[in-house]
Amino acid sequence: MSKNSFRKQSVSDAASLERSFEPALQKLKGKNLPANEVRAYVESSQDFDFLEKDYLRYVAVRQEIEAMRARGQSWASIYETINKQEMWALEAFLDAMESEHQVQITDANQLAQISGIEDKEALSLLLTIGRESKYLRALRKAVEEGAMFSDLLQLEPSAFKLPETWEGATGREADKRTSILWAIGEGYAVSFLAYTRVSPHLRSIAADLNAPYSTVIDAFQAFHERRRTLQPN
Amino acid sequence: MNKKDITKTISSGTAKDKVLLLTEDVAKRKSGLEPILSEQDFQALLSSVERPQERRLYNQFRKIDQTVTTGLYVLNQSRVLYRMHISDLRGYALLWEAYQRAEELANHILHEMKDKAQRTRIAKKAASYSAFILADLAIDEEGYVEVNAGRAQKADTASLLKAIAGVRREAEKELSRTLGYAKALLDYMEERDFKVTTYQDKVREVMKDVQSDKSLWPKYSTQQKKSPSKQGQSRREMEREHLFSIYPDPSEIQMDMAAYHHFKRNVVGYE
Repeated sequence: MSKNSFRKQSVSDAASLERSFEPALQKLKGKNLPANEVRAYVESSQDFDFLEKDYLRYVAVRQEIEAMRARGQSWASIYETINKQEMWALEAFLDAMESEHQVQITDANQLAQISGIEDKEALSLLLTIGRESKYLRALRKAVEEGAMFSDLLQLEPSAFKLPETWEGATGREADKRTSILWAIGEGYAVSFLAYTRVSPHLRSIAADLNAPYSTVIDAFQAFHERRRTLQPN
Repeated sequence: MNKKDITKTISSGTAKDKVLLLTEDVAKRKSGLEPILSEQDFQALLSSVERPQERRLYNQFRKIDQTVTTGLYVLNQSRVLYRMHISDLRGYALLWEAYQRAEELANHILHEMKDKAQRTRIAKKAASYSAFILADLAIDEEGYVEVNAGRAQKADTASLLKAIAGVRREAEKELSRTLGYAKALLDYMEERDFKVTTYQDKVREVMKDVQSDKSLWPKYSTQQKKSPSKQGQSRREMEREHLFSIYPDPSEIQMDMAAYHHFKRNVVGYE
């Protein structure tokens, strides 16, 4: 895959992002695993790359949630079982609920009404982090697939049902810019084994992304700050 | 070889069995390895090589042994030369890495100045007091320090990347030569039916050594970046990393046939 092969359409919204992981999903389905074994398999498998694993964790949690619903468990009781530190778990919870009730949830009140959960603050966070998880995955995938900085700027949070600004998983205000900076830092520093013991060269990254050098400095500062506060996707 | 087999070889082995065992034992002793034979067994075996044709074979193997020993010396010299070039590359990699970190450190500080004009002025002032060997120190259009390893500060000086490319070429040549020498020595032993495993193993050990990746960190390796990592399967990683791939890729180096023939003709050609 060359730098120029990046197609914005492949990650421009939640639906196309989902489709882009179809091969990995099919590979997983081919294993015919029971819902409660999927997560362990994904973690230990060598068949998937870093981003595919991230997506398949979401799939695994969603399958577990749907299985619990099929057994008649309430949303509130399921909410108690999911790990709130895992962005993909919140994402899976939100998607499972929207899918079952055939609605697009827009705010915490609506979420409270459907789920029966009363903690509005927590629900508000669930809503934004659940959406943010997809947006960040799309940005990461774009970086991975050779997007330029200008391509990243074209991926809009609104396509992932996010407002212009939101309270992100770090607890700080997030927006398109902070998310792109995170994706650059994460994409270059974490994914690549080449940097297991030495840091990447920021100026080369700027050239690789056709981005201003100062943006890459921002990206790495944000990346380090963020990693101090949480372990994201 | 166990004691029973040794005794059997001494009492009823063929001339070749006896001579091979003696030579193997000598090879181990010369290599600083544990001998196969005790002093007593060695003397007994040597005394049992008494018939004229046995003595002839023994003397012939002694000569080959001396030639192989010389061959191993030359082969090891070539390996040491290769490792010396690798050592130089490691030094350059450390220097380059240090330059990148120095640039980054300066720029994290400069980044705190949001006024571009002020940032540029301070960066220029700091740069005017400093110089980097084999690299150019400049201020970019945003007012940040740039340590350019592809450009030397003085026109008549090589850049760091040019120096690296030169050493890499030399390393590749020496690696190719080492492989040629090693194959020639193995072939020489094979052609003379001189199947002394201690020497054969030593040659293979040299080949294995020079054919392994010598980079300290994957960032500067060429070989390790050929297959995408599990964490990032796209080719973008390789494209980006290509800039830093400074070590020879042993899997792409063929043996030097001229060196092979030279070795067979001049190093082991006289017995």
